[in-house]
Amino acid sequence: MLFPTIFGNLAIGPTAEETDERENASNDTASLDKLKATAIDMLPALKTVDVTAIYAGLRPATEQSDYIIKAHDDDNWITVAGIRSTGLTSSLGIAQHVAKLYAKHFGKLPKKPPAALWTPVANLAEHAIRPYMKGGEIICHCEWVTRSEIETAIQGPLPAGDLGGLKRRTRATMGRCQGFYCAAHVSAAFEKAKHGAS
Amino acid sequence: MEHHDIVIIGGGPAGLSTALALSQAGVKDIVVLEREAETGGIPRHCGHMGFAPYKNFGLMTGPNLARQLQDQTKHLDIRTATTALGFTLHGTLRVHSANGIIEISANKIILATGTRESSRAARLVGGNKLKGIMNTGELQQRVYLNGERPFKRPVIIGSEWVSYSTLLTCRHLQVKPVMMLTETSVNAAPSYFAYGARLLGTKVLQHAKLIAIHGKTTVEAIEIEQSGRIGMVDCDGVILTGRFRSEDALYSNGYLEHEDHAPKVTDSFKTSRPNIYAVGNVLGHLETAGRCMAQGRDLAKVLTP
Repeated sequence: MLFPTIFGNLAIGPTAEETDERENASNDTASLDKLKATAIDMLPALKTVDVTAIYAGLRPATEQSDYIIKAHDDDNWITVAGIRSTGLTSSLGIAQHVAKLYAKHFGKLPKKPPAALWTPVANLAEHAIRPYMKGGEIICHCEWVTRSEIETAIQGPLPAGDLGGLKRRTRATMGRCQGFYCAAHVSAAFEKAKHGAS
Repeated sequence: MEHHDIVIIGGGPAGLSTALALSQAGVKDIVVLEREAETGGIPRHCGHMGFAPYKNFGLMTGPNLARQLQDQTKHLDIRTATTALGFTLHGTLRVHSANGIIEISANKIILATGTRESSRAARLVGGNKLKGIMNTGELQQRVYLNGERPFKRPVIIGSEWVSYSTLLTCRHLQVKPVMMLTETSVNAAPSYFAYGARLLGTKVLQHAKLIAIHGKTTVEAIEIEQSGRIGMVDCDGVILTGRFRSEDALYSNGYLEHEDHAPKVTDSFKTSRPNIYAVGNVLGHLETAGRCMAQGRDLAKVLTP
């Protein structure tokens, strides 16, 4: 599948390969070549466009293809497992189903759930206001990530713990240069922000 | 809207030398837009010798050349921490500055946005996402600007001029690279550099391809292919050097005609739009800082006949 992302990139993929690996997500070089060739087949103009980023992840799976959703009366336990790639689409339905299972096996759910911990997540796409538009100091030039966005990412109840987390929160170093220009500055800004916060 | 005679995008060797030569030729209204906090461009973090303002190679270090350029252009209207975001449909520039986004128009706009190395993703190198994988640009900034020491036993991928710049950076770090690996026979740089590498104790492996990078959190080994055979090399870092790409954000959307990852220009640096010029490494060939500065002076002559 070739699709546009909200960040203005085009993405090609995904592929799905069975693996026994439980911790190590790894890109297979042959699959990368094949994906790029497929993208060029679909849209020949991509031939002269460099790939910006590649990634792989592990999806939890069980020995069966269907979901496993089951209440265990004796253990005070509800198993919700083996949710493959349809997880996002089905998440609301699964939640309703699990709530019903709970009511059936363990009694009424409390009317008002305890307050959730919210981690503020900044807008990263161009359709709405981003800090650079107000004049913030840009640290990552490909993705126009400002110092204030880096500072915000390490605040709140679930702060970004390392550079990997910071990248995922802010998109810093995730653009076309992949850190050639800015990675050292992003690291320094991250360390400085952490010292400021502690 | 702000209007100027000349707006130069990029305050590296090409942009600054264009600005300086134009100002010496009597042009008054020149603005240089530089997205970093200071001008000087890539030489700022090439802490070794080999730079010269008037020829390809000399005995200046990169930071010394950058400081000289900064001093010579102090009197000019140079806006640092100011990013050209893109062209508008009517040919003006959208510019990010400390006060927010402004629009600037100019009689002539000069692209001098420079170049960067290809990333791991662009090279389609598989394996894991790990600490310790970087371009020369990132390495040199970590070393010369931040004082970091990211690894002890890296592998250098490539054998272009910059690959040997990387070797000198490693030497400065007192780090001995495990090997240099190149897909061809030693290519863009002259072969005596390979002898230099061997003299510094680094093995040079030719006709070998990097297939994948393996490890848990940091680099542990690379997988390489040579004459159909696959092998593993232990290391704790991978420096991906060279395969330079023009910094194309302002024109890759088709605003300027381009091919082979560079804007099309005439011998007099004219792009496909009548009031837009391009100079220096944005043109796609990696040139020395001295050569980029010479191009800047040539462009100034074109603009002030």
